[in-house]
Amino acid sequence: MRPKEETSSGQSSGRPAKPGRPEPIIRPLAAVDLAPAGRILFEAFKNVFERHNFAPPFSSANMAVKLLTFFFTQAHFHILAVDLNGRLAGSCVADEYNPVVGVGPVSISPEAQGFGAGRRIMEAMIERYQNRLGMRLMQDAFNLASMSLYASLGFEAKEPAVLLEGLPEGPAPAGVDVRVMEAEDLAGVNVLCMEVFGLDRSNEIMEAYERGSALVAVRDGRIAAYATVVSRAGHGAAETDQDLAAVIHAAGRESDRDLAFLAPTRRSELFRWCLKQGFRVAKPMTLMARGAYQEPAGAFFVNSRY
Amino acid sequence: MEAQSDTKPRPDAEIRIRPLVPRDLEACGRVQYEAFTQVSRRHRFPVPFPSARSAMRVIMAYYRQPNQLYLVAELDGRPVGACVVDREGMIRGVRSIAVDPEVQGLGVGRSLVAGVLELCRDAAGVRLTQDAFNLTSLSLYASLGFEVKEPLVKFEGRLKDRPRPGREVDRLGDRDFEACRDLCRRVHGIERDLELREGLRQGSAVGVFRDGRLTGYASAVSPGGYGMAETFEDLQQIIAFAHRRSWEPFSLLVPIRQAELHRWCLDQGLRAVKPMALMTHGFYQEPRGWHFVSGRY
Repeated sequence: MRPKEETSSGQSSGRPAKPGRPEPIIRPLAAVDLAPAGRILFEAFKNVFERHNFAPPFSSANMAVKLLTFFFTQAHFHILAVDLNGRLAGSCVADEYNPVVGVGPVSISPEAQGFGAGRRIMEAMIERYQNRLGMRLMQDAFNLASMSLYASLGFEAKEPAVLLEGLPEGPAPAGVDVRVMEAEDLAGVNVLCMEVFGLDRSNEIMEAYERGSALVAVRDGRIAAYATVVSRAGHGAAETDQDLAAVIHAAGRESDRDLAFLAPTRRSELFRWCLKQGFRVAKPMTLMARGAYQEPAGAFFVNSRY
Repeated sequence: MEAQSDTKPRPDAEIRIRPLVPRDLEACGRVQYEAFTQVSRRHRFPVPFPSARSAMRVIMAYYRQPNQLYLVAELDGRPVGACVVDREGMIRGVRSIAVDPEVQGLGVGRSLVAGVLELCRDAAGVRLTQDAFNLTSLSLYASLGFEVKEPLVKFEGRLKDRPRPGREVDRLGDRDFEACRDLCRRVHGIERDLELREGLRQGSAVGVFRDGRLTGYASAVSPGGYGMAETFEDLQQIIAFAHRRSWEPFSLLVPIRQAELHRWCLDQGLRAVKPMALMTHGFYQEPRGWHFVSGRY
């Protein structure tokens, strides 16, 4: 028997199909696929996370189906499916909201791994977005198969990051006022986003503002930091680590359950502050980018795609 | 925290950091073996020592080197933690930081690393490499002021293309010492003599010369050595040269933000074995060239 290739974001380290092997077929995901694709998403992540003894992101298949269904109903997400031998073998989600496309989650059924389905679905994504500014994703650093696959497809490791969980236990950073984002903040927030990431994420910011989840920190009358939401679904940027710390602290104060967000560990001051506040490191990750990339010029945290 | 059995030390037990003495060897070998085995097995990554005895032999080798200091952490008089630190150099490397799994969570690791920092306070900096799946050590080092600088991947295998090194790459001798130092100062802003001298003595040091000028070198092409070059091509030459001189599978700690180097390792069929991170305390300069790191830094 052929040894299973390790995978991760639940996917195979995939090689091009050889003659006689089933050829992966790529197509858009359909509504009828949501339940099986969600189950695969659950299984694939459970498989690789449990193998390396980290807590899986989904506690049940139902939770994964719900997430995938949410993406499916949002206009700016596109989901590809991959079939192997006429059966659904996995899926990949892309966030088309911004000029830079965010990829993930990617999942290939544990039984279908080793046939190049992961590679094929990523190649199809790259093909689809070849005219975009770039593509990015967050990869679980313990999953060397997915890291190697993405690297071989031209994604470059840019930032080591960690999932942090907990609630701030210490005092808030002094001198920074944090409040809910208002309509007149939008221009300033977009400028700060452009300064820090060199990217237009105005759609994402607008949506968070409309949802009411976005926060800003104001210092000397200027927008010094913002977060669309302090969770894996949101990102934030700031002039300094302390400004971003103030936003995270404020989000924690308003929350009755643990925050969970993805922080780049090379931002040492912010990372140290988070540890001091009692946040726990839950897993190691890597931000990978393909195409345009600018070293962030300020403090930041990322969502589960970038 | 889990309930503590009678044999476990109290949380207020006294921790003392001191140099290793020969009678610690067995206990420290066991601590090194147990600590690394437990965390690597838990996350399903390769175990660095096959046995407590092999860990003991490694410690003994360090113990005999005059420029290495082996530190022991004692809890209520019992050796429960250990690490090795460079005694000299602008930047001191720390390795093999281990705490007996039985007493983890009592501050032994923290005292040990704080002891290292105290000992190295006259140095420009202290550095280490850390297993990225070990979240406890990541958090500990970060809280003591170490900063993550580079994500690393340990690669193993043989180069698929068996690249033929050019004539400009050769073994280095003592006469090349100053040129290496100069290059290291340009690329990393530091001098790094300890491993270089080792590499020259052992014959593992390799260099690239262009127009009579050293443009890249490695103290050894293995996790026991480091390498750097002005261009990617020169670093490839160094690796290719070392590869050709040995039939053994070799391994390399690659800072993967160097995307071309990362991709090249994969294209050459090297296998990613584990994710790691380079962490630094004190002076650091973003490298101005291509490089790979040693297990120290």
